[in-house]
Amino acid sequence: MAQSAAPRASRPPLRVRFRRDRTLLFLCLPGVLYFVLFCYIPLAGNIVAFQDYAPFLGFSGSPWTGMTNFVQLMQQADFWSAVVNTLEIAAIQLVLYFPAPIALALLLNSLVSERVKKSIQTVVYLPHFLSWVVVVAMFQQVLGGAGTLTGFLENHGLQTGNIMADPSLFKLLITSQSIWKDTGWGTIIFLASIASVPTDLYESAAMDGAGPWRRIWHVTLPGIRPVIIMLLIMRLGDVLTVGFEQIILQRDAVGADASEVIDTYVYYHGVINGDWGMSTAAGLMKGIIGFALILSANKLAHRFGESGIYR
Amino acid sequence: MSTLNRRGFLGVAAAGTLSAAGLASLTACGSGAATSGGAAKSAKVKLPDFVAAKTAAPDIAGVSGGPDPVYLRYPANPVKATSGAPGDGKPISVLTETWVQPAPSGSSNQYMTELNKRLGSKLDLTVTQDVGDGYLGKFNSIIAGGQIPDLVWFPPNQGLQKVPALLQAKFHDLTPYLSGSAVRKYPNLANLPTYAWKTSVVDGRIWGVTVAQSHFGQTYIVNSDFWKKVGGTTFSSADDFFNKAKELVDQRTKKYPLEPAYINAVHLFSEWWGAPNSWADKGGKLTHMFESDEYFAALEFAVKCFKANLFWPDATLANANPKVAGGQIGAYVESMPKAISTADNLSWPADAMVPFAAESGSKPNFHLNYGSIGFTAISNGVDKARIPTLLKVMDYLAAPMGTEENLFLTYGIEGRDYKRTSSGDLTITAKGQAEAVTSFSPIQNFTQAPPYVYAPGAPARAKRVNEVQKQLHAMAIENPVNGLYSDTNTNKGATLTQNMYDLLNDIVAGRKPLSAWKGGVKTWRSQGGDQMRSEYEKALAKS
Repeated sequence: MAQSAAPRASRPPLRVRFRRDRTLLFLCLPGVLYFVLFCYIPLAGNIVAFQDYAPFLGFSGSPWTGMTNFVQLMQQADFWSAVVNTLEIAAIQLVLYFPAPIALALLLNSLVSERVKKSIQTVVYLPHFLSWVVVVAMFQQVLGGAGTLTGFLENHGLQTGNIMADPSLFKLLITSQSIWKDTGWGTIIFLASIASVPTDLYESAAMDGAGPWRRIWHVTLPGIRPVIIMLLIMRLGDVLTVGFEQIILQRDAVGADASEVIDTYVYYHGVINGDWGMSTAAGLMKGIIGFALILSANKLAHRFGESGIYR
Repeated sequence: MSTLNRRGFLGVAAAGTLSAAGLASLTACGSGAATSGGAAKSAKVKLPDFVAAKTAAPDIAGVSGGPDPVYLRYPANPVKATSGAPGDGKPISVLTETWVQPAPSGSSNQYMTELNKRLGSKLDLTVTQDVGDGYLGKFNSIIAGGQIPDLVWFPPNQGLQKVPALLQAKFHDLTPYLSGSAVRKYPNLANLPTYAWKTSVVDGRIWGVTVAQSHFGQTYIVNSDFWKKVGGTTFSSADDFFNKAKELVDQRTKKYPLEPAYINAVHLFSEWWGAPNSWADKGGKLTHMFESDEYFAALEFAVKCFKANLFWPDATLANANPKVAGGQIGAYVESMPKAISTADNLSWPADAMVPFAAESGSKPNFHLNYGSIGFTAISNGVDKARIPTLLKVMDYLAAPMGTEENLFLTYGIEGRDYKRTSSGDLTITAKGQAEAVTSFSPIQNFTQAPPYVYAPGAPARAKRVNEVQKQLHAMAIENPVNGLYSDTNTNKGATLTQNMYDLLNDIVAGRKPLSAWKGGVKTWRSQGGDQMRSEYEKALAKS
C-alpha cells in the first residue's frame, strides 16, 4: 500500500523481472486462462449486437443491421423500466448490503472467546453455500402467502398481506435475502484485514483512554480503509449485476414492472423471446457503464489519497 | 396416460390462435433468411393418407371431432402392430418434455431398458420439466448451442420463434417420406388423424410426425371432496360459484378453491360468459377474444376472485396437482378432461367441472382445440439414409390402443409395472407409477397413439370422461381460423399474446387497474392484431 510508487526508470529489465517473478507468473496462469477463455474471447460475440442474429444461421449467416438494435432498445419502455429497477436495487444494496459485512466483522472481532468466535463464523458462512432456489423457497415458506409467519399472524387476527407478492416491497425483500445469504461470507476479507491492524495501536489508544467505540472509530476503521475502498470500487463495477437467479425465481410473484432488471431483460428478450441482437445490445451497454463506473471510482479514490485498485 | 398438464401447456391453448394452425402458420420471420407467403403454399400441401388400423373396437365409439373412443377394460388379446426392432443399434437423441415427475435414471429403470431393447436403439432423451421457462428456455438454449438432437419436438403454442427459418436451416424436409401415400410405409403413422397433420405443415412442406391429441382441451379438474360442503361443482351462475368458493376459503388450514394460474382461470371463466375460442366469426368478420366483452367480464371476475382470496396465495406454485390431490386446493386447470382417467390421478376423487352460464342470458361454451400438440422433426445433422429408421421408431411409438406395443409403452412390463386382475383388466402397481408412468410421459409427448380414453382398473372413471366430453361437445365451439394461415400470426403472434398475458397477470394480481386492459387491446391491435384479423378474414373468405 506504499503511496509513492518506485520511479519507473529504475526498473530492472523485463527478462530479469520475468526470472525473478516466474513462480508467481506461473501461479497466475490458470486464472489468466480462465479470463481469456470465458471473458475475453466471448467479448467477440458482442458483434451480435449489430446483427439480426439467429443462432442457427450463425455470425456469418445473420444479416447486419448497424445500430438498429441500439435504437430500438432505446425506444423500449420496458428496457428503461429495467434500467431504473437495476439502479434502484443497486443503490439500496450499496447502502444496506455493502456495510453489513463490515459491521458483522467488527462484531465478530470484538468477541473474546476464540471458540465462540470460530463457531459463529462457521454458522454465518453457511447460507452462502445454499443455492438461491433453496433460499427463496425458505423465504417463501416463512413469509409467503401460505407461509408460517403469515399463517401465524392470520391466526391471531392480523392481516399482513403477502410480503413475497408485494411489488412495493420487492427491492427491500431481495436485498434482505442477499444480506441473509452473503453477509457472513463477506466478512472473510474484512476479518483478515482487521487482523492486520497492529495491536500496539490499540494499546496506545487504550492508554490514552479510548473506549471500545473510539478504538473502532480511530484505529480499526482507518486501518481497514484501503480494503473497504478497494472492495467498494470493485463492487461499483459490478453494481449493475444485482442478481439474476434470485430475481427470476421471484419475478412471477410481483410482475415484471417491479422486478425486471437489465440481466433478466437480456435473458427474457434474448434466450426466451429469441431477440438475441437487441438483448446483446442491452448487455453490451451494461458492460460499458460498468467499465466507466470502475474507471471513475478509481479516479475518485486517488482524489481521496487512496491507491484504489490500480494507478 | 396423457397428462399434458397445466399452464405451460395449453395455458396457451387459451390463446387458441396459436393452438390451431399454430405452428403450421408460423411462417416467415424477420431473419432475412426466410420468405413470406408460406401460408399460401401450406394450404396446398398433400397431407399424409389416412389408413385406419385394425385393432379392437372400443366399448363406446368415438365421434370424429368429438368425444374420444372409450375402452372400459384393456382389449383382451393385443395385436402386434410392428415387426422386428425398428432401430439400427445406434442411439437416438431426442428433445422433449415431461408433465409428471422425472423418471428414475440408470439401470434401475427396467422400463427404459426394455424399451431400448424393443426399439433396437437406445433412446437418449433430453427431458425438460414444466417449471420456470420450461421447454422454451431449453429449446432456445439447445438451438443456440448448435448441438441439435436427432429428434426435436416442436410444440405449437409455447412461443418458439423463427420456426420456418429454423426448420429450413437445421431440419430435414419430410414431405417425400410422409405426403400422400408415402406414409403407408409406416402403418401406425398412417393411422394418425388427418386434422392433426396440419400442424406439421410449414411453408408448404411436412416437417415432422404429428403428435395427435384429444380435441377436448383445458378444463377445471376438481377434487370432489373439497366441494362436498357446498354441494358439488355444479353452479347456477358465476355469483353462485363465487359465493360457494368463498365459503370454502380457509386461511387457517390453508384451503383455497383455485390454483393461482390466472391466465388459465380467465380462459375457463370466459367460457361461462361464452367468449370466442380465440376468434369469433360473424359473417366473415372476425373478433378476437381479447377484444370481446365476454373475456373482459371473465377478467373482471378473476380480479374479484383474487381480492376474495379464492386463489392459492403463492403465484409461484409450480405444480398444483399434488395440492389438489391432497385437498388443499379445490380445482386446477388440466389440458384435458381426460386427466381424471389417467393412472396418476386415480387415487383421489378427481372430477371435471363443466362450464355453466355466468349470468342469465349468457351462452356458456367449451373451446375445442386443434387435436395436435405439434410435431417432431428430424435434425439435418442426421444422415439422410437414416430418416426411414427414425420414422420407423416413431411408427413403433405411435402404435394404437389395443396393440402389444401400446400396452407396453403405456403401462410397462407385466407383473412388474402392471398386473392383470381376475377379470383380465389391468391395474398399475406402485412400481409402475414410479417407473412406467414417469418414463412414458416424455415419450408420448413427442410421438403417441391417436387419442382414446381408458382408466386402468377404473372403468367408472373412463365412463365419466365420456359423459363430460359429451356435455362439453354439446356446447363446444371451434376456433374459426383453425387450419387457416396468417403470416403476421407467425411473425408476431406469440409475442403479442405474451404481452397480453403479462398484462392479464398484472391486472388479476392487482398490480394494474382493470382499465389498463383497454389500452393493452389497443396496442395488441396496432402491433399486429388487426393485421392478423384481415389476413384470416381473407383466408376465411377463400375457404
